[in-house]
Amino acid sequence: MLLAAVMVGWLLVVSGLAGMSRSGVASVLQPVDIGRGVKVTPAPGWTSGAEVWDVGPSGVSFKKAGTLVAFTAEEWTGSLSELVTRELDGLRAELGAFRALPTTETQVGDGVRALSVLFSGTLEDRRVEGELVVAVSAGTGVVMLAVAPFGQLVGIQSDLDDMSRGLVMAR
Amino acid sequence: MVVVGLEQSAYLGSYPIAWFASLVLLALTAIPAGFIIYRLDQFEPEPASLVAIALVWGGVVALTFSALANSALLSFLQNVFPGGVVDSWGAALVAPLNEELYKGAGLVALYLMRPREFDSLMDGLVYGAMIGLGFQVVENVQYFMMAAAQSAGGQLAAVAGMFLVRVVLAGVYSHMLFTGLMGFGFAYFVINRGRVSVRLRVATVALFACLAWAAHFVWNSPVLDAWLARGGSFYVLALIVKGMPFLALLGLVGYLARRREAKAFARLMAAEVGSDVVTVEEFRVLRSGRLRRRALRRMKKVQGKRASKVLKRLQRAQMDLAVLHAKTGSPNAPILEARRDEVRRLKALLAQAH
Repeated sequence: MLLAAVMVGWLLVVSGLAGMSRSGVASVLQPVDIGRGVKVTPAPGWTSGAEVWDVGPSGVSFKKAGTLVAFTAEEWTGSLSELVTRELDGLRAELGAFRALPTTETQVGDGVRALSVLFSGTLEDRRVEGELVVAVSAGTGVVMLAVAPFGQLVGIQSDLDDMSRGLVMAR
Repeated sequence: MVVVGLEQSAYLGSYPIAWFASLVLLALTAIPAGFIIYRLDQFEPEPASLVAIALVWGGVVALTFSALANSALLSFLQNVFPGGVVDSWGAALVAPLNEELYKGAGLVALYLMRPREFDSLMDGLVYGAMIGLGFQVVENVQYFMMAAAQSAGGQLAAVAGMFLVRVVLAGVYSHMLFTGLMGFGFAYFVINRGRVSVRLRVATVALFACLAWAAHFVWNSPVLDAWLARGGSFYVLALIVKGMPFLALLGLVGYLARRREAKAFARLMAAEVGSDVVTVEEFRVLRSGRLRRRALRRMKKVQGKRASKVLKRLQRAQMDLAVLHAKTGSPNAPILEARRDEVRRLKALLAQAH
């Protein structure tokens, strides 16, 4: 009984610590301004990915346990679907065996309409999967591109949702 | 059991070739490894049922609890420390803490089930290493499947590559080593009850738990990552530098434990040697696993398989006398007399085979 109590007890302790830190009690996160009035707040555990993925001055990248996500903001006068098409064409050119699920509509930030696509492919002989989210607001196009080793996107999906929902965009 | 079963079914469904290849490759290495560990205790082999429980504890119970605890603790660290630090050091901090705890709990569980089976230092080492082996095998299947999932090429190539790294190059520096160390300390604690001070027993079990943790920590740490990244001989050298000191330590304590067992065996058998039950020549053979096996081989060659089997039973019955002397403490205990009669009966049977 005591042995079982220790085993389960330790599990409860570490789960409690994880839950506490997720609720922000011990968070060390700061929003990052990527220009054009767009601000991104990394989810807990994500740190700068600049040394592995340089996205230039109008964006920011983060990494966590082998997965990467980048946010970029640029002037965009076209439509939302044109932006997603451009981004998908770029991914198709860059990834081998590229496959994408149908585009779905979603929202980012404070209710800004966005389009989201889940995709998979190969990059330097490794299978990867990812999510592309694009949004347009007040002449600014924002792109969120996440890439994870195959099978690991599900593990960061809630972080991605939190980050896209937490986007601050000019209206 | 259900969770691990479902996980393996999912692997089989998604990556059948890789899954079967993993099983074959791991069987080819884990079965001989398990056999070698089993034979470490040369005078009193552990019961197969308890060894099986140790393997299952490592591969199912410890692995499942560890996976949950690792995920939670890693998540906590990622939220309170800079991600870069956690990316580099997370595995070194989290895995030893949780995995050694849950594997160590297996030693306690085995002891609670059959306390009388823990009567030598070698017992702890064997059970610890068996728990580690079970953990290592099932964890390796997970790694192999992950490699197959991420590979853009063939599943077999991915599994073979991971097998080379995790089993061929690094297999001996893994969980068998860590939990073997812990088992040694645990056995010292339980077999010396009433003979050694509580303080020394606690200090010893704590020391070996720390050594197990340290071996795991060093192995998972990013120290020498630069060498690993260079590949080739630097890769192998990095693995040796990280794992060999602890493996050498385990080898040393294993050697000392065996020597201690051999001395204890000689002391316990003293009352029997020179009698009709155990002759001086038979005792010389019984003291050495190598000589016992050689005698069995010779018997098989000269007298046939049946005689060799009888000799094996005879050797076992003679060695059991030492165990019974230790347990009863009296040379005239009825159970000892019964075993002596059994030895005489087997000797007569062997003479008939001649």
